[in-house]
Amino acid sequence: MDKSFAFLKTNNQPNRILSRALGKLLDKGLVSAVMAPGITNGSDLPMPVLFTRDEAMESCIPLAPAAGVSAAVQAARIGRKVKDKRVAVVLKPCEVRGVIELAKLNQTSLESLAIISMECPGRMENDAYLAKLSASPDLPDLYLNDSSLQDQASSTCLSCDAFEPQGADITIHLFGLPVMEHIGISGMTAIGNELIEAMDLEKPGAAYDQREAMARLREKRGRAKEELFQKTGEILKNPDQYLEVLGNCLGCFNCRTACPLCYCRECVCARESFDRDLDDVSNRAKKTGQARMPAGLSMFHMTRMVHMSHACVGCGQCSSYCPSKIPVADLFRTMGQQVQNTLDYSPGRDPEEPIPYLRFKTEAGS
Amino acid sequence: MSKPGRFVVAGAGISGVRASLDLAETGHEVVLLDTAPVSGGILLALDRQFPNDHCGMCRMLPMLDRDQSKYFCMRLGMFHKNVTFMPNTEIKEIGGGPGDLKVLLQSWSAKVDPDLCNGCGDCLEVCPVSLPDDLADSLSLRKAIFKPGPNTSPSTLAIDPDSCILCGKCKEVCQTGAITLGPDYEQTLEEKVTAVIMATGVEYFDPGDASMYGYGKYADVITSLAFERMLSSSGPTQGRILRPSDGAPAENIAWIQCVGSRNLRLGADHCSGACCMFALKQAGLSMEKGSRPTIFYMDMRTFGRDWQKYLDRASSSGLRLVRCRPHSLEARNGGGLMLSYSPVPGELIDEHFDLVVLSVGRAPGWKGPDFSDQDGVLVTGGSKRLLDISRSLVSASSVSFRAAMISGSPVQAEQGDSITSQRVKVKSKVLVVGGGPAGLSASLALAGQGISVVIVEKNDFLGGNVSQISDAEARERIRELVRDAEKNQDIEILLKSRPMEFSGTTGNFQTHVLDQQNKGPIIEHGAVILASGGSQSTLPASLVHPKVMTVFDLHRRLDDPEIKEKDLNCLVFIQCFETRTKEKNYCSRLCCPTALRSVEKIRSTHPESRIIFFYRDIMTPGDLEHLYTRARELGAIFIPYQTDIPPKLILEKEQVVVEGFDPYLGEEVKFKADLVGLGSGLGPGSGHELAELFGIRVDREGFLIEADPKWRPVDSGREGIFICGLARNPVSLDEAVDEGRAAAQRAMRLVYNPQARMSVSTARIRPALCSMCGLCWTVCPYFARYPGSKGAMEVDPLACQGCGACVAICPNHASVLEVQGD
Repeated sequence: MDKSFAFLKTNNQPNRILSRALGKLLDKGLVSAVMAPGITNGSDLPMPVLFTRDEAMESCIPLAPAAGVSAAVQAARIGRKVKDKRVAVVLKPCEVRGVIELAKLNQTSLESLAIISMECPGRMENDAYLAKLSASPDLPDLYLNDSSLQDQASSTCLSCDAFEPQGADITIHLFGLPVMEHIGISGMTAIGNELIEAMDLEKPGAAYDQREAMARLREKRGRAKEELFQKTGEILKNPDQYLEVLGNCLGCFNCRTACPLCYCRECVCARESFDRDLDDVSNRAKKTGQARMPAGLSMFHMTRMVHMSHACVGCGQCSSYCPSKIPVADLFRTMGQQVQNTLDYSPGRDPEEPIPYLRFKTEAGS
Repeated sequence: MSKPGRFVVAGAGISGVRASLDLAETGHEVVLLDTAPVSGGILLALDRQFPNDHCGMCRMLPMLDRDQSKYFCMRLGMFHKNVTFMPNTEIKEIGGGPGDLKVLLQSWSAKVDPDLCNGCGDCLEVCPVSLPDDLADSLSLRKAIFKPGPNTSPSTLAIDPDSCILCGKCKEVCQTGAITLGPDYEQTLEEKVTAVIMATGVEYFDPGDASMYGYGKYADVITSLAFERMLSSSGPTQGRILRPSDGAPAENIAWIQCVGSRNLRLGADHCSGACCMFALKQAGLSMEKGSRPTIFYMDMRTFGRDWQKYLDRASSSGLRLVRCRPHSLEARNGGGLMLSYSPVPGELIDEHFDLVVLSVGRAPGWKGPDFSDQDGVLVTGGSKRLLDISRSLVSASSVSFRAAMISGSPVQAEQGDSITSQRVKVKSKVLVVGGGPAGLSASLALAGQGISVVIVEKNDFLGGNVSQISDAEARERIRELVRDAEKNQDIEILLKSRPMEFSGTTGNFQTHVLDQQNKGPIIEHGAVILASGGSQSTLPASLVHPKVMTVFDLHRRLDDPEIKEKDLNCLVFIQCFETRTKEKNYCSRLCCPTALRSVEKIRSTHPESRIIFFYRDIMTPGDLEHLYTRARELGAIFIPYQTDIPPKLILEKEQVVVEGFDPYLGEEVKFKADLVGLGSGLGPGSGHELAELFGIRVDREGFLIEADPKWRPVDSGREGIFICGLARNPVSLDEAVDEGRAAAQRAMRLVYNPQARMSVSTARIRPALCSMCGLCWTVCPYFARYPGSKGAMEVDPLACQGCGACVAICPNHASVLEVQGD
C-alpha cells in the first residue's frame, strides 16, 4: 500500500474546506457522485446526501458530529447498483465496517466505491445535536476542536475505541492536529492517492505526531468500553436482568430498521411464525396468571442477538433509534465482543476475511 | 422398456455392498449374501480410515432417489428396496451361462429369531463355550452365541453352528423365546440371475502358521487387525491401548511391516498394498492416545495421491520410522518384549516395546474366490488382492457395470410406485472430457448401455498420453479402446476441442464446446465425466542432455536399434526425482514399475551392464512386487537415499556422472552413466481450469479432488460431475480403465432414468424472502445451490440431500426444508 500524507488548510472552516476539496473530485470528473452527510429539505440534521454537482457541496458537512441514520446502508445501495462509475462515499469508521460486512454478504460491491473516512471523534445523539446547534451554528467545526463537546457524544461512541478507519481509500486525520488551521489527508490505496492528487493539497510543513493524542483517546474510550462490557456482561449472564432491561420494549422494531447489518428482505420476525397464537398466550397466562402481550418480543431480541453476535459493527444506531432508551447496542456489542473474540473475527475488518459460520468446514458431502 | 436384471452378489463387505447398491440404484434387483450373520465384512472391525481418520461408510448410501434406501450408519446394516440381504448363506453351485445363470444358494438356520431377540445378553452369561473372537483377530474371547458385529442393528445375537455344543442353556435363559436349537436345518434355493459378482474378499495371513515373531507365544505380539479393535471404543479394551499380557498401558509400540508379504521364503512375492498406510494410521491414532509408536518397514509405500502428505504429517507429529526388518523378538523381564534389529550393517540394537503389532496382509498363495473361472461370474478387485477402500469400491463399481452390461439395455423408469417424490427430467447423454483410457472406458461402458456419449478431446487423436509412455502391450490395449470407441454409433467424438462454458443443474447441464477455430456446439447433457488425464513431467532445462531422460522415455528408447547395439556399461535410475516432496508431494505410481520393467529389457541386450537404482521407497504394490524381485535377481543394485542428500547429477559434454551416498557401504559412491533415467513422475493436465469451469475442488498440484477419498472416489462432490483417471490421481492403465467404468456407473444412476426422482426431503427457497447473500451457497456441502436469474438463490433438486445446512444458516428462513408426501 503506497500511503501518502498531505495537509488541507482549513481557515477555521474544516467542514466547508473539505467539502470544496471533495467538490473538486466532481469538478474534475474523477467521481460521478459524492455521498456525504449534508443538509437538505430544511432539516438541520445531517443525513446522507448524494451530491453530483460541485456547487451543491456548500450544504455538505463531511465531518458532521451527528448521523441521522447509518450511511452504510445507503453506501451499500450505491455499491450494489453502480457499475463502471466511481462514487465517493464519506463514511464514519463504523459505517465503513458496515459496508465491508455487507459486501461479504453479497449485498453490495466495493468495486465502484471510493471510501473516504475519518478519525472519528464520535457522533452526538440527534436531539442533543439539534439543541446544541441552535445555540451554536458552528457546532460541526467547533466540535472537532473541543474535547468537552466530544464528551457529549453518544454513549456508544464514548466507549468505542475503533475510531480509526480500516478499509478506507482515504483517511482524514483530525486527532492531535490544529484542525482549525489544517487537517491531514492520507491516500490509503492507489485509488485514494489518485483522488487526493486532485484535491490540491499541501505537503506537510511542520511534523505533527498524532500518536500521543490517539493513545490518550484510545486509553480513555477503551476504559469506558471495558466498563460497559463489564456492566452489560453481568446483565447478559442473568436472564432475569436481561428480560428486565428489555421490559420497556414496545415492539416497534426500530432497532432492526436502524441496523445497517439487518439485510434480510423481509425479517423472519415479521412473519407468522413469530406471531404468537392467542391460545399460546392464554395458556401461558394460565400458568402464572398473566402474560405480556404481544408475546414473542424476547424471541425477537434473541434472534437479533444471534444474527448480530458475529456481525455487529458497533455503530450504536439501534440504541439511538429506541424510543424506550433500551441500551440495545450495549447488549449487542458486549455479546458481539465475546463471540468475535472466540471466533477470532472482527466484522468489517477485511473484505477477504470469511464470515465465521463459513469457516466451519466438515468434509460431509464435499 | 426392458426387464430389470437380477444379480447375485456374494460377500456383503464394502465391495459387495458397493456393487449391490450400484445395481440397485440403476433399477436392477440384487440378492446380496454373506456367510456371516451380518453385512459389513472386515470394515465392521475398522473404525477409522486414512487419510482423514474418519469413518464415513454411510457416504456409500444412494444420493439420488435416496428414499429407496434406509438412511443410517452402515455399520448397523444395509437396506435398499432392490436388495435382498441373505445372511448365513453361501453359493453351492453355479450353472448355465452369462445372462442366464442358475445359482444354487445354501442358507443355514440363524437359530436366533431376529424378530424376538432383543440383544439382552443373558445367554452370553450362560454359554459354556469360549473361543477366540475372529472379529478382534483372537485378541479377546467370545461365546458360541455372540454379537456378530459391534454395532449391528437390530442387536440380534447369533449362534456359531461350528462351535455350539447344543447344550441348550441359552434357550433356558432366553426370556423372549428367540432361540431355536435342534438339528441344523439348511435351506437351498435356486436363483436365476444375469450374473454373479464374487466380492468375498481375500484371506489374511496368519503369522501363527509360520510362527513369526513369536505370534501365539507372546501375548503382547498381536496382528494389525487385533490392534484395530484395541483402538476401537467398541473393542475389548474400550479403546485403551493395553498390553494383553498384564493389562498395563502400552506406551512403546512397534509395528513390523510386511509380515507374510514380500517374503520369498513364504512364497509371498507380493506386497499387500494397504498395510503401510494402515500402520501409519494406527500409529497416528495411538499417538493421540499417548503412545510412542515406531514403524519398522522395508519401503514406506505411500503410493496414493494424498498418502505421502499423510506420512509427512505423521512424521512431523513424532512418529518414528526405522527402515529395517527386525530379526528376532523375546519376552522381557517385567513385561513387554525385546526387539532386536539392525538398521545398518554391523549395528545391533535391542529395544524394549510394550506391544508389537504385526502388519499382516494378503495370505501367500491366495488364489481368489471359488467359481472365479466360470462364465458370467465376475470377481471384484478386492477379492483378488488386498486393496484400500477406495480402490475396492472403484473396482466393485467397475465390476458391477460389467455385470449390468451382460443384462443388456438399460432399465427404464418403473411406473406407479408408492413414493410420492417429484421427478426431474434428465438428459440421457453424458459428456466425457478427455479421450484417454479412463475417458474411453467410461464412454464405451455408457454407450454399451445405450446412453449417448460425447467425447471432447483436446488432441487430434484419441488414446491420451499413456499411449506414448507405456509399453507395447498397453499401447495395443489402448488402440483397441480407441477402435471400439470410433466405431460405436452412440459415441460422438469432438477432437481438438475443449469445454469452455458450463451451466445448468444436475441432469440438465449445458456445455459449450469449442474447437481451435472457437466454434462448436452447445451440448445438453445429464452428467459429465472428467477424464482429462495428464502427462509425464518435463525435465528442467538444466538437465537437458542426450544421456539423461525420464524413466518413461528411457523405457521406450531401449527399443531403439541404436541403443540396443550401443555399449552400455552403466545405467543409473534415480527414482522419486523431485517428487514425493515439495511442489510435487505425491507418488506418481508408474515410475518404479516402468524403471523395473526396463531392467529386463536392458538385460536382454546388455547382460553385463551395471544397473544402479537410487531410490527412496520402491513402489510396487500388489503383484507388481515381482518386478522388484526380478530386477534384484537380474543384478540391479538398489541404493536408498534420503531427501536431504539426494544423488547428484554432474553433466559434462560427453558424460554424465551420478554421485551419491551408499548407507550400506557407508561411503560416497560415483557412477559414470551411459544412460540416466529419472523417475520424475506424472502430473495432471488441466485440473485447475476444469475445476474452475465445473465448479469443483482441485488440490494444489492440480488433481481433481473427489467427494470423499475413501467412500466416493469418483464423485466430484457436485452431483452429476464425476472424475477419474490421472486427472484425479496417478493410476496404472488397469486402474484408469476401472475408474472410467466406475465413473460411468455413477453417471448411469443419474441418466438411466429420464425421469429421475428427487428425494422426498429437499430444500426450497422462498424467493420473495431471499436476499441473495449467498451464505447458503457457501455452506451447502453438495453444491446444490446457485444464484438464480430471478434475484433469488435456487436449489439444484437432484443434488440437494436435504441436510438442512442452508436452513440453519439462512437468517430469515428464506431457505426451508420440505418433505413431500408423508
